[in-house]
Amino acid sequence: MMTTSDRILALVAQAAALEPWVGRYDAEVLRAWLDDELGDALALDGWITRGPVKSKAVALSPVLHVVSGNTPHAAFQSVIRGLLLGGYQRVKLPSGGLPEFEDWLASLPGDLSCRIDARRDLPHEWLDSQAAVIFGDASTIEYFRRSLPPQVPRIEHGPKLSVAVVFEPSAEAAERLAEDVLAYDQRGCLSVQAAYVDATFAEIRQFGDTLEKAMAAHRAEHPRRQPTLSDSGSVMNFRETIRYRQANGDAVNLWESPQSTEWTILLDASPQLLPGPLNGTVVLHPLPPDWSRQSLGAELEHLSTMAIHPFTDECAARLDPIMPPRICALGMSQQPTLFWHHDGIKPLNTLVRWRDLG
Amino acid sequence: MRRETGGFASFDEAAAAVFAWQFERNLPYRRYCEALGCGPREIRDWRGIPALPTDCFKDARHRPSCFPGETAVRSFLTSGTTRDVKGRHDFADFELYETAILYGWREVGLPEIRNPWFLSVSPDMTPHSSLAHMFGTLANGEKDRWMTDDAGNVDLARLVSQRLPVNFFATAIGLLRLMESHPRIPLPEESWIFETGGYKGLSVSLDPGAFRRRVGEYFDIPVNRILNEYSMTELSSQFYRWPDEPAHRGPFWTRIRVVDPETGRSAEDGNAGYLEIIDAANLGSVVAIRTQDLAIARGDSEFELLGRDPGALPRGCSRAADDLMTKR
Repeated sequence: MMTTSDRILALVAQAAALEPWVGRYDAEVLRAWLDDELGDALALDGWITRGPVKSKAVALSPVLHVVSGNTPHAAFQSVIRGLLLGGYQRVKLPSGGLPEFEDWLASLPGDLSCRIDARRDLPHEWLDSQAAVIFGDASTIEYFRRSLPPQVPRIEHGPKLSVAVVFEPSAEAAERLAEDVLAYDQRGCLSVQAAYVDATFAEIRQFGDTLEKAMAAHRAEHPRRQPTLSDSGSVMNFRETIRYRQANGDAVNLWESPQSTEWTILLDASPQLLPGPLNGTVVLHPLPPDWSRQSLGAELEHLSTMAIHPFTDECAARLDPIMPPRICALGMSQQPTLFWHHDGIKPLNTLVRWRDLG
Repeated sequence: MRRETGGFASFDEAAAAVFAWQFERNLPYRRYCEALGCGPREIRDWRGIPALPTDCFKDARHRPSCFPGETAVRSFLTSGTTRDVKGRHDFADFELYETAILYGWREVGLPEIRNPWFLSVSPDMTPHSSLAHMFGTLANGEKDRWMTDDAGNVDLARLVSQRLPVNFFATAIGLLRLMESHPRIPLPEESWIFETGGYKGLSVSLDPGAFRRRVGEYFDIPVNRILNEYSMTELSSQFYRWPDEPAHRGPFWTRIRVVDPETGRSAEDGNAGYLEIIDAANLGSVVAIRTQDLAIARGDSEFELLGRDPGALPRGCSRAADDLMTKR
């Protein structure tokens, strides 16, 4: 039986291997995190006095993690949280696998590996888990809503999109934006799909010229995986539709990788936020007249991260009207730390239940 | 008039003439072609005609039409979710459109329609549906053959009582819903079924072969008597395939291209790509249409349909559309 301290030590031993996916952490940080979310890190090991009663946290176990194949971050972070709390973790991998995660599992010592089971299929008995953390598209979320017994708590992380806000356009901002657009082939909820730029239309066009070079340079340094027909087709369709609009006088501008669909930049005078074809596509907009649903459209409700440049409290405060769940530095949108509140949810608190004494 | 070329010396000449006619009258399409550096002088054969993506039919400010929208006798709208912008295809008249439907049916050698029944509301009740209009055209004056009322109720009594061979027209979704909600309906011998529309959005996952087997068992007809139709709101002509045929095939005034979307060039022989259709009957709008369907070219007017590109939905972590049940 591992105590909380034992689990913290076991996870600290994995810190270097996990750093690319969860960021840096040490024992002190993990303990402080438990203190913050549970009130006391020792609440998982014994009764903790809270006013007139004593309380004890019990890790929900087993926890089913349904992870997607677009980026490995979510899988690592979700499972690490479960391990820290002490439960048994069932991981439903995407059918195509998740090599980084599976490699890490294979390298784990027995005291951790015995607490995780990972499979590409979904055994029926896994639906009897005590909680489910679900990452995926709308159909995945819907499937588990239908399939899981109603008493199983679901922590759903459905489809979202992320945007950048460039308050000071520059070459550095363009490079950071290229990173946030192109990392992981733009497949995650944290991939930037649009960038609002605080500049005139002519200045944004200049920024587009700079971004064009940054996108090409990034792709040269980090070649994309082989695109599918669908990947290429969605970009082609998007580009030709824009070309049609541009030819007919709409205030749009198109930059595109020559002879390929490697990257695409659209400048659109409209501030409306729309999901794009991904695969290295970003839409530049002028700053909206105000940060509201009326200006940005219905997709605003599905906003995950806003990556801003420069990353200052003053710039972040300008986004207060829409209260995005996460604001980060441009260039870091796809690297959230272990401790972030994905979709605004406290991640540890949702994976325990409480017992009271008194 | 020569059958294969409609009076022109060749299909290339006919397609170039239609393109030049549209280039003259369809300003949004003309501007698009000019942006691609393409005009009538550059067109040597049908393969060079720029194909317009179907999404351009959703652009309310720049309708790809050869005549003012306010003079249209009818506009057909694409299906989709309530939050989707619908594509619109305007028609100045229906003479050519209906001729293409009827003549195309005969031209590809389909059986004469004798006792049609339509799992559909009447065209009058859904005037913006190109499919309902097609059904109405194929009904050829037969009234009271519409089995669905405006409340969505299906009246099967007259179909069930038929003793003569039936020609039963439906969408794939309509067939599935019928099979899920009603006991088997054996049709008289020699009956056949026309089915159209995609298979996505079904509550169960079915491949087209499995779906047809289920339809055949339900209606007690051989699978090879289930005709699949392919068309869309943005077109005027149709392509058909019986299950024992290798490909969908269109009438002589159509051609198809399959394009590698990565390069924009024709896909290698036998390789899949995006389907483009050249439809000379699409006179009032655009002769060349780029679909979002994946296919393999099997001839000038024949293709093996692989299905709707999943990328036609919002991608990746973006929200998925909740309805893609039919193409039109």
